[in-house]
Amino acid sequence: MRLIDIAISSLTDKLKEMYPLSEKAVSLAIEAFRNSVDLNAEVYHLAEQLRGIHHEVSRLMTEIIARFQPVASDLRYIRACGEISYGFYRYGRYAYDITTAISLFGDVKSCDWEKIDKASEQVRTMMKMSMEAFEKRDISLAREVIKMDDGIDRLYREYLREIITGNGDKRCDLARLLVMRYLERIGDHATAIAESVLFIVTGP
Amino acid sequence: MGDTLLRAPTDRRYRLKKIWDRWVPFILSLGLFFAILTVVALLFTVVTTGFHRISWNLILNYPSANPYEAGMRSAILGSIFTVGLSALICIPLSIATAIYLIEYAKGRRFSEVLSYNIANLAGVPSIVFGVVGLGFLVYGLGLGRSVISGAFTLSVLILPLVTITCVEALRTVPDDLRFGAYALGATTLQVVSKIVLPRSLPMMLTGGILGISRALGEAAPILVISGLIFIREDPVSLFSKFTVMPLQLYNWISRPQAAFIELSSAGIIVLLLILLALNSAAIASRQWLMKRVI
Amino acid sequence: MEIDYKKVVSKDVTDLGLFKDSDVVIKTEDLYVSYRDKLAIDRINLEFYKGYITAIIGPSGCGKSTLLRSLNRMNDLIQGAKVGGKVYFNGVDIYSKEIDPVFIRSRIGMVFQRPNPFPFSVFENVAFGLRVNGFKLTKEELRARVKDSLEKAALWDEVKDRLDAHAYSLSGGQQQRLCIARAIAIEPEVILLDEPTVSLDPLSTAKIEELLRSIKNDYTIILVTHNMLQAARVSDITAVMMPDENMVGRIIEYGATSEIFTKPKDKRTEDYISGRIG
Repeated sequence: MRLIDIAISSLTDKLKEMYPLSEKAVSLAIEAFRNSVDLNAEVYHLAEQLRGIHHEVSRLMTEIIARFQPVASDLRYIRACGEISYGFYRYGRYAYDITTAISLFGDVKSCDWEKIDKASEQVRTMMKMSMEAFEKRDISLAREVIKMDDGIDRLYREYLREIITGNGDKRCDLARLLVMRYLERIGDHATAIAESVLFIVTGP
Repeated sequence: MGDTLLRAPTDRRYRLKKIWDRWVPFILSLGLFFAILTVVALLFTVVTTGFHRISWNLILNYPSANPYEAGMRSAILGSIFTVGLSALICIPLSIATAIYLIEYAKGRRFSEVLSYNIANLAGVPSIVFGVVGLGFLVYGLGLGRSVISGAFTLSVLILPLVTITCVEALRTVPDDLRFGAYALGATTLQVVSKIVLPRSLPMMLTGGILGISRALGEAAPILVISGLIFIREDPVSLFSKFTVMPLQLYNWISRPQAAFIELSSAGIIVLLLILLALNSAAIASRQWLMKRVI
Repeated sequence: MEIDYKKVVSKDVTDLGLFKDSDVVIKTEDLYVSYRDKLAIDRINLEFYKGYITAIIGPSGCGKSTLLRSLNRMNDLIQGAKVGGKVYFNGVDIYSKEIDPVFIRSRIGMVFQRPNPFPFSVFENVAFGLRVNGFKLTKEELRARVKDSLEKAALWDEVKDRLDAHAYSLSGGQQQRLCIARAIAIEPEVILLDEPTVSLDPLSTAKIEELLRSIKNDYTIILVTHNMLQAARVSDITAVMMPDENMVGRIIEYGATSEIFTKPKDKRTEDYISGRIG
């Protein structure tokens, strides 16, 4: 085993540690929002944890570059790890942002969440698939994620048009729009992760 | 452009340089040429005068007044006894001295002084050793004009030569090996016996055999110690009277009869053959040991 | 052999404070060495920890090797060398009168710049240290010990069929690993390495670096190298040595390797490791 492999595997471990945390943060935040439960503290804790690990990953990357002078696939992998870790960190951050709005909106349980549930289901699938693509270095899976992102974007735009033209309840519209907006952002980061997987496997 | 670089310059200085380059080796080899010429001339004279006189008589018979019966049995045995004994004394002594100088006392002032003196000793004329041996061994210690006195004198004579070779042999052992052994917790004695000696022994033995060859050819100190040239009995003990081959040859050469001159030439051939055999043995043993140790 | 990668790079080796819990095996106090009255290194105060690799880096001629040799009394063998100050090995000053340097060297092994196997067979090379140190071993025990040492030195697979072959028939990298096996065989506590890969090709170098990482938990390893990238790759702790204006080598920085190579505190360290000087 090369010395750099030892270092890289500890980098990979950090990412594997991050994913469940970010997954949990996003699920918790969306559930809490639509059920109007204040989970701000709990999600904040997760987001902070993710931020800490992301910081750790950056430090580790710098150290690996300084100590082992990675080249070729090693270098691509390390750069991609930075990208992916940032994505996980952003997941946590958006989850936290969602929960901060809960108390502001008050009770939104009775709104119609059907479209949002559909979009959230899709985004969470993208998160899961992109992680799986990373773990298995599966480029076809990664390409699928990228394709799915178009769907989310389309959903987002459709919904936006619907709100602008329609005249529903303002509170419900805004609440759903907010969540939709964050889901779209999260989907973007899942796409970035999928692109990183392509970068690892095929290069720039 | 390209071909101007490849074309040799043609000016005078360049041509002169080329000529010098070609002829210098010939000029330098002139010295070697003269040396070889001398040896060949010498061998030619010796072989043409003495070759037909080589016979078993020469080796098996005692010296005699009759040149056709005379042999050098006593001288050959005397040479073998004294020189062999001197090698037995000298080689262990030289190895011990060299080990002390290089492995134990290295860098000390005392060792440096000692080294200088050993080198000086190698330059002392051999007759001086003979005279010292006569005074100290023959009369001083009362050993008489015996094999043992001759052996001691010869061993002291070749001691510097052999010691210097032994020192050189130890110096050829890389310090890396010594340090490697020291770093494993070996004592100096272990380093010497397990690492240094096995590696330097071939070269030491070569030095020893070169010393023996030198001792075989020495006449002057033995002339002083033994005093005898004409002996008709074998040396049987350490205290026997003895003579050696160079003395026997000297004796024959100084006789007026032409037959004795021829005999001495034959004797020279025998002596040269023995020396040649010893040197070959030195080379062969070195090769053999080297293969085993390295 | 399983490698504890957590110890290689992770936050537990970024701060030197974290080493303080491990055993200090060698500690120098105001150590200095002079050659024929000319000071070579001065005021060396270092601690070396069990289970970690400490690298000593610095430009050529700054006294790295001199420092290393004074840790197992190899300087005794260098003419004109004089050592002052203290070197504590498990709390005992190795330069005090009642200490036998031969014993010290059997506890603190050393590997040199150029591979220097003895002119014996592979087996005898490894057994040499056991023999000279008077280990009482049966034939089977000896064989087992030799095998174990060669395995630790990652050489066993390559030489198991030719233990009787002459050591000189091995390649340079194999010879150097043989020298490491030879040092390991007598179970020293400390292994000193004086630029062990300077004469080797990159592949052999990588093998030796990996082997050092794989054995480090059982030993205190001190590695002198003027290849700072090697120090970066292999070591946990780095000491940077630099000659002062009188060409006397001194330690200018000492800390966790991950720190030294990402944010050195001393400007001279920064300049040296980034290739601006030296």
